[in-house]
Amino acid sequence: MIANRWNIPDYGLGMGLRSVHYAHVLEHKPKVDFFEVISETFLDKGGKPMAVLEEVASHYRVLLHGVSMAVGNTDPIDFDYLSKLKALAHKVKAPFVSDHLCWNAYMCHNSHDLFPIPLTEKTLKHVVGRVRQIQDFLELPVALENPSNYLEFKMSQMSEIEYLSRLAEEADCGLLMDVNNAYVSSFNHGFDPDEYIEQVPVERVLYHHVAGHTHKGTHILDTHSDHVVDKVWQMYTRLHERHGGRSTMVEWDADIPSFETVHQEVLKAQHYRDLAEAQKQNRVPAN
Amino acid sequence: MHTFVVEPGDREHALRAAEARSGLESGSAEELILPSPTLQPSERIQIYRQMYLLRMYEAMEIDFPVLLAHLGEDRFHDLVDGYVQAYPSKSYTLDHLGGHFSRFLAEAKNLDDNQLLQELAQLEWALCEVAIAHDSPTLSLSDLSSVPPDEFLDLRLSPIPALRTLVSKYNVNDLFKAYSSEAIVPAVCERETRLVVWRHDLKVWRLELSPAGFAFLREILTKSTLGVCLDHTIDRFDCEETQLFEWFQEWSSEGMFSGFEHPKK
Repeated sequence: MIANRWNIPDYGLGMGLRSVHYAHVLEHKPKVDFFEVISETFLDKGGKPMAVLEEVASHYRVLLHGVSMAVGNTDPIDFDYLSKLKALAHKVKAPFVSDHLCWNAYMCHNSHDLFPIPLTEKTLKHVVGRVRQIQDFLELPVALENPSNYLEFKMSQMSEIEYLSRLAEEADCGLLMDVNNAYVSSFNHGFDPDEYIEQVPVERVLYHHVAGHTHKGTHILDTHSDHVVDKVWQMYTRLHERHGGRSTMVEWDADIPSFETVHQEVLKAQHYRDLAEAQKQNRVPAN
Repeated sequence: MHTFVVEPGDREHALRAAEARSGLESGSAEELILPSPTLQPSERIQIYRQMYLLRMYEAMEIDFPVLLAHLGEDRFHDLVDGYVQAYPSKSYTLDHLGGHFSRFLAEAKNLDDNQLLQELAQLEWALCEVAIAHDSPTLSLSDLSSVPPDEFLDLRLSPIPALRTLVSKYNVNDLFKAYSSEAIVPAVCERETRLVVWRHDLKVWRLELSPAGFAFLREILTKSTLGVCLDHTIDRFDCEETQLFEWFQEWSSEGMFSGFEHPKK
């Protein structure tokens, strides 16, 4: 296996902890390697959400995934938010925190979206500076996810994967490679998803997301509302062939089916990991 | 891009507004954004615009299900459109989005039921806040029994963070109960209601109080001594001290207080 920069282990196959499954998880304690939680759902809160999280964290590894770090914003870094995130990470013993390569607010007006960043030298410098400050403050590695994008800027000077690779090196941060997002963006922008996967700097990847999406004909929406498509599993397999294993989580956030259905989707990842391993063995020349 | 996404009205209006605010020339959206194999630049950015409103509707529907049921989806969404313009999210979380909805409804023009809507929003928002307010210790009856009788009236009680008191002119608690249990919804009518909403054992509770009980509880929450609260309530209402003590015991056993300040400590 190619180690990542922080030697963060492969935690196996995980699920998102979603409120519709709280009762099932607490009652049955299903065999799941880890649960990922949306950080903002639990920041600065008490009551049932926090009680559930504490109970889950006492039985499972918990990974934090956020949507509000806003590494691309031009508003000042929100250290109040980061303080709360740091406290939560400490509470659940998160080995790293993840968020997205995006911006979401202007003049403190938050859109709660993951807006694309113009991929230029100037914005790269800006984002690198913010990620360094954020990581220093959190005292934890930050893994940034490639978001699903629906538009590209004419002013962009490099591809997304080049931008992410340079960002990871220059800010010394990790990457959360969302394979479905890479596929969605490849369709929406018209680039080759397999080339993208070949360029992923695997030593920087800490973690994978896979998910389903909604094909609208003219574009694909990253809805997290369905099974993972075969092409995404194929791309995922190739990544595993390249790096040999990273924690993986299936995102299912809309039209959420039963716990068992989502869990079965998660377990499919093991088949593709085994396939990756077999393909890798076959590629090694016998001595 | 941000201005375009959050601007109300149709797409052309939003494009013009975004161009005006960014100081760019007309048509600049087309100059800034690449077309895709299937979509023009303005169609690509429109995807973000549509998702923005859907996100706002969804967040508000989660926090105000009774208002949604009472108003119907179209009217509720129209109000949310105006609300997120007047009070856009400035928080890292959509959990805070609805915090000004009650005020917005109270001030909204062209509504003939402002106060009812404002009171329903106030109740639903109180329930939201209470559900996720910070945890705290709760005072038990045995904690109180440790206080010597001659010092009891000097105690100042602290409420738990997950407690709110509300007064409404309309029968909003009846409406809330009916809508949430899918029972037959009563007619809207004026019925002054005094409610305490709090969290106990991870569940959110609502309790209607009499005028005397509500005045007594509210004064306790101001951290006056228990003795002063009793005297003021008895002066204002025709009620017995024993009745007030019974209520106080009930509220204490239901976990409404987190602690007390003891005059001798």
